[in-house]
Amino acid sequence: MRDLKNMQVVEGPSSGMRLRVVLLGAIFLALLAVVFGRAVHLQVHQQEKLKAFAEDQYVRAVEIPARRGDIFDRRGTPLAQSVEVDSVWVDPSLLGDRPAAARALGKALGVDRHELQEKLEKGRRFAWVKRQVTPAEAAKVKALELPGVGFLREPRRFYPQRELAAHVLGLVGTDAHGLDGLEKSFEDELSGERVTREGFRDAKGRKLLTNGVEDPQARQGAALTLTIDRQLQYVTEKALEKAVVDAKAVAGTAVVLDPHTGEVLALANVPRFNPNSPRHASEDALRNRAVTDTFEPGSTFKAFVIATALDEKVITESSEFDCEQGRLAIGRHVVHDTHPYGLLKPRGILQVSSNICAAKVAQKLGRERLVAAYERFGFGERAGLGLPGEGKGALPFPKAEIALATQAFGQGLTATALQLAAGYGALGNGGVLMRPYLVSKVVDPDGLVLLENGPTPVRRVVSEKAARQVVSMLESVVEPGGTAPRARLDEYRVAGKTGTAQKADPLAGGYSDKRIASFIGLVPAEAPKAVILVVIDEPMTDVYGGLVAAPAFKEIAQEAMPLLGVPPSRPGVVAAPALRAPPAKPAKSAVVAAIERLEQLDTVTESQAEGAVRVPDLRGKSGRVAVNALMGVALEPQLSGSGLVASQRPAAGTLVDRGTRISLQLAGPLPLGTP
Amino acid sequence: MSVVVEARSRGGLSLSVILLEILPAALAVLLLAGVGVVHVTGRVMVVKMGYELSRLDAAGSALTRENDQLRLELATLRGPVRLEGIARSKLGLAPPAAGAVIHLKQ
Repeated sequence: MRDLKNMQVVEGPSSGMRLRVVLLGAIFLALLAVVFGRAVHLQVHQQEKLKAFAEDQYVRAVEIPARRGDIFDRRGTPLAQSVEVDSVWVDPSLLGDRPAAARALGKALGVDRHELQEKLEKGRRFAWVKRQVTPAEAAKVKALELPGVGFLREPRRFYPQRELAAHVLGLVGTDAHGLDGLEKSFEDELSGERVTREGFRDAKGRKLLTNGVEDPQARQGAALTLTIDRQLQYVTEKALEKAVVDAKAVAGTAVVLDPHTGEVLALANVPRFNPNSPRHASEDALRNRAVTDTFEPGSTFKAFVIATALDEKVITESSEFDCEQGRLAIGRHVVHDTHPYGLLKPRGILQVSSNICAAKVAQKLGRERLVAAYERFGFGERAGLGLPGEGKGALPFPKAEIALATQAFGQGLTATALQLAAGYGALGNGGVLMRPYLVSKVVDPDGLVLLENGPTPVRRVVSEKAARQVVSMLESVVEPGGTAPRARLDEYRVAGKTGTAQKADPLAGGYSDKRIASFIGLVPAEAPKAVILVVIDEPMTDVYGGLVAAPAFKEIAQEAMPLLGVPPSRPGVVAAPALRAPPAKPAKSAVVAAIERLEQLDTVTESQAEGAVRVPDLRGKSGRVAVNALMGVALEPQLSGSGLVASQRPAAGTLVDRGTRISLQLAGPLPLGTP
Repeated sequence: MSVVVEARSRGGLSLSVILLEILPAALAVLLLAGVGVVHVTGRVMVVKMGYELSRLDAAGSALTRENDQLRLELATLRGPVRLEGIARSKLGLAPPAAGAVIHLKQ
């Protein structure tokens, strides 16, 4: 240890030395002040600019595209979905041999290589090669292992049901914006929100998220639930397409509506298009004719004239009109009927679709009341479905006598198919017009209901009595002697009306020889559950609605009723479906077939007895066979349990009144192959 | 009077006295070092968690994408055109006639 006691005291510095120290200190202080000042300048005055420079080196702001909401049918079947797919981009500066790269990429992606090479030669650092490619295309590009080629994920809209309800759904462009249909109308709700996510990127290019991630639901758009029934839509489109092809027509439209709620159950147009590849569709095929196109509806309007005249008590069910044997001169014009008729009552006018008598009813009703009635039925104003380009039709006031006459049979005014269906819906709904609607619910990802549509009565258009009378009269149209016996259903009562309208010629003026054939019906007539309208534009094989459109109506109605759970109007009538034999099923033995025929014969014989019927022996039969047998003899089955019929009450052979309830107790396992 | 001054006045300083004199400074340095270690460890953990979060986010996106693709495939396979084709050609089925569908009362 050093001896501190013996240390000598050092003498103080000289004045020169002191001055040097002070000077040196001042210099250092000045330098320090300069450094401090520079630090302040950088940290305070240039903070923003320098921070941005720095962040540009390591912070990456990535824009995450919004996730478009799905669209479902009324039963929850997806009609439109979004899936993220790869888009291919390129940094041309990193490509070596550009023509070779353009050739390879063009081949892999099906892109024109000259166009692609032009893009690559522009010398930019970024160029799209192809957006929203298929997984197979992406795999092909990855296999090329070209430098400077990258992938970016973008959401793409898919329509898994392809052409089904394509006109209703509409289209979405490459930049995820709705272009048509509901995709356009509900763009704000469906589109969702883009979010920007900030994170670091290290020297190796790896992402580093330090601020957490947002809830994926935050960028998700709302989901739409439609009133459309996928199965019914399919049936409608299929029947309509067949009708258009059979009639060699230009186009067709069909609408199925619930008259009590206004729900649009199906809305079809032909020609159709596949919204997954809209580029291949013509402009004509993209048009939603049922909503946008207005046409002269023809004789389908007669029902509104008769309903209004009955409601206004201008006529009664037994009023008679002279149909002038098919020829009526009004001024210098002549109104014709397809066949000559004499005296007809309102039922007969509708049944044979007399233009002359309909005109006479309209004359009795008067101009003001006729136009007011059409307006009450919703014509001349948009139905408010919410689809783009919805037409409202033209309802000119019939100043001339001939105009009044022609408007009575649906010429000289225009309407959309949807308006026409809604008008008949009012007749089927006891005279109350319901607002048609297509979207029942819009729900955001949190489950919050943004929009909910329900049945909305618009107004009463005619009295309930008048509506019922007209619906009853319209039943005669599908009976023999009517204009549309082809629309008759064996199992259900149908009330309908044909329409065959001349098409206006916009170039020459007046009417052309082209026609629009239509049929609209309410089914079942006793308590309508659906309004079905079929319109065929410019049919070539035949021009009458009863021949061209009625079969399509029948096909739709036949499949719609079981789908909607409507029991037959005429119990006991079971039309055998046209079954194709299953390919690998063993043939039925002749003995079994003969026994089954005998059983069927037995039940049919019983059903023909008047008043009372004998209860068939159902023991040992499957529930379905037993129910069919009972329905065949107008008895009401009541089942309990499962398996084969173990007991029945009343016993087999008992004579009971038609409609008596027969209790069947089912038990035991159902053997394989039992129908 | 401080310990050092006292020691000086006694004519010498021992090692323990000197250690005692620098102890507060040593403690301060240790404290600072501790704080530094905690801070650095925290930053390292944040970075680690950031990488983990990025990895999980990418995995989540991939799963969402796969789920979307599978849902789309399912919806496509359930398309009515395809189902009808299979029902008719492979199973020999046909749509039921209206009267063949019986709605039983509850």
